[in-house]
Amino acid sequence: MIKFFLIVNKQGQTRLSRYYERMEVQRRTLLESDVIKLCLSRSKDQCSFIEYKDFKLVYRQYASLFIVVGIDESENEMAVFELIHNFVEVLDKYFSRVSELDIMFNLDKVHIILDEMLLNGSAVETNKTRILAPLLVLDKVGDS
Amino acid sequence: MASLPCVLLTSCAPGFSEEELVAQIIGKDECPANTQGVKQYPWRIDNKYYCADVNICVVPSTTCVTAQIAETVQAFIVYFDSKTKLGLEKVSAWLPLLEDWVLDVMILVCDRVSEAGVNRQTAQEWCIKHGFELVELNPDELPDEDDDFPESTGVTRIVQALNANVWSNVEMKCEQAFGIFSSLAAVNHPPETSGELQGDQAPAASEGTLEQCRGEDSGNPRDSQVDTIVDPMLDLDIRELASLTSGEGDIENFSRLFTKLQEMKDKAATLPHEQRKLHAEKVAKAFWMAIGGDQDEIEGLSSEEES
Repeated sequence: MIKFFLIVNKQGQTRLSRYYERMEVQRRTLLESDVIKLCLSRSKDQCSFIEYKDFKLVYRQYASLFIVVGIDESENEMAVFELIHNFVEVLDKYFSRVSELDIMFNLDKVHIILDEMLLNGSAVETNKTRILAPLLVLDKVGDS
Repeated sequence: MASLPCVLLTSCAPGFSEEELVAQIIGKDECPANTQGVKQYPWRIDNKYYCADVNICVVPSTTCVTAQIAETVQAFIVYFDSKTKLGLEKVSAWLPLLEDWVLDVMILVCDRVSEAGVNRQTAQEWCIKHGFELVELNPDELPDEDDDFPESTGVTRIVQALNANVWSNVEMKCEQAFGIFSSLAAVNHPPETSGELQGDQAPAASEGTLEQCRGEDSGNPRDSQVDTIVDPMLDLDIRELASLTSGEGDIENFSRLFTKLQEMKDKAATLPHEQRKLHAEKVAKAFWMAIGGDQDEIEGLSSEEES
C-alpha cells in the first residue's frame, strides 16, 4: 500500500502532500521534514529506495522538485518508481512542460490528476489519456 | 515604494561583487540603484502566473539591516567563500535574524564547492539543517543533457527559486478564480433550465423518485410526494452554492462557500437516518446537474426506485 505522496522542493518546502492513511497534522509535519532531509542529503548516484522506520521511501528528483512516496512492504518499489515517473509525465503532458510554478498555482488540478491515478493507496490508472479525461472535461465546462 | 517586498542579498566573502549578481538576476547590464544607505535595485518578476515588483537590497552585513528591510524581507540570498574552511561560519551571523523572519526562499550561493574548503557534503548538510538551497554559480558538473527534467544551475536557478514564491504584492495574471471552482462557474444555469427539468422530468419523478425529504412538513416522508425535481429549499441552497463558485470568486465568496456547505451539512445532520440519506442523494444529484452533468447518468440511481 502507498501511505503518502509528497512533492517537495530543494529548500524542503512541501508543495503537495497526500496521505492514504490517517495521520495527525502535527505528525505529518514532522514526518515530512524528516523525509525531506533524508532525500535531500542523498547524492544522485545513491539508490532511490530508502528504508525508513517501518516503511520504505521511494523518491525521484525532477529538476528542483523531489517526489517522495512512502510505501509498506507489500508494495513493489520498482512499480512505485515507475508510477512516480508516470505521474510526472501526466503533469508534463497537461501543463506542457510542467514547472514548480504550475504545481503551486494549479494545486487543485494536480490533486485531481493524482486522485485519478491513486485511490486508497493503490495505483488505479496509468493510462495518460484516461487520467486526464475528467480534468479536460472540467476545463471545457470552465471555458464555455 | 516602502512596502515593496525585498530580496536581501548579502555576501560573506570579501571581494565578491554583489552588483554583478544583481545585474545577472535582473538581466540588465546596468541597474540603477536607489542609494539611501542600503543599495536597492527594483526588479519586476513577471512569469506565466503573476507579476510582482520587488526590491533587491544589497546589505553588506547584519548591522546594516534597517527596520524597513526587516519588515519587508521575503527572500534571502547569501554568497559565501567556499574556498576557505571557515566560509560558512560567517554566514552564521545571519541565522538568528533568519529565525525571526521565517522566509520562504533562502539560497546559499557560492562559486563552486571546493574540496579544499567547503565541500559539497558540508554545504549540503548545512543547507538541509537551515532550510537553504545550495546554488553554485559555476558548478563542476553540468546537468545531464539527456535528462528530460534537467536541473537548472547558477543564476538561472536563483531566478527560478525567486519566481517560485508567492510575494505579498503578487498580482495574478488571469483570474483563475480558485482553480477548479471556476469550472463550476458553468453551474449558473439560468432558472429556466431547472424549470425545463421540472417540466420534462416531473412525470417520471413523481413516481416516487424524489420525495419530500425535509421532515418538518410531514411526519412520514414516504407519504408525501413532491412533484418538483428538487426540494425548493435545497434548490435555493444549491443555487447559492452555484453562484458562489462562479465568476468573481473573491475570497469572501470562497469562504462563504464553505460556510454554506457546512450549513447544508448541519441541516442534514438534524434529519432522521432515512431522510438524511435522501437529503444526501438530492444534494449530490442537484450538484451533479448544477455542474452540467448529464441527467441520464443519474437516472435510475435513486435508492427509492429500488425499494
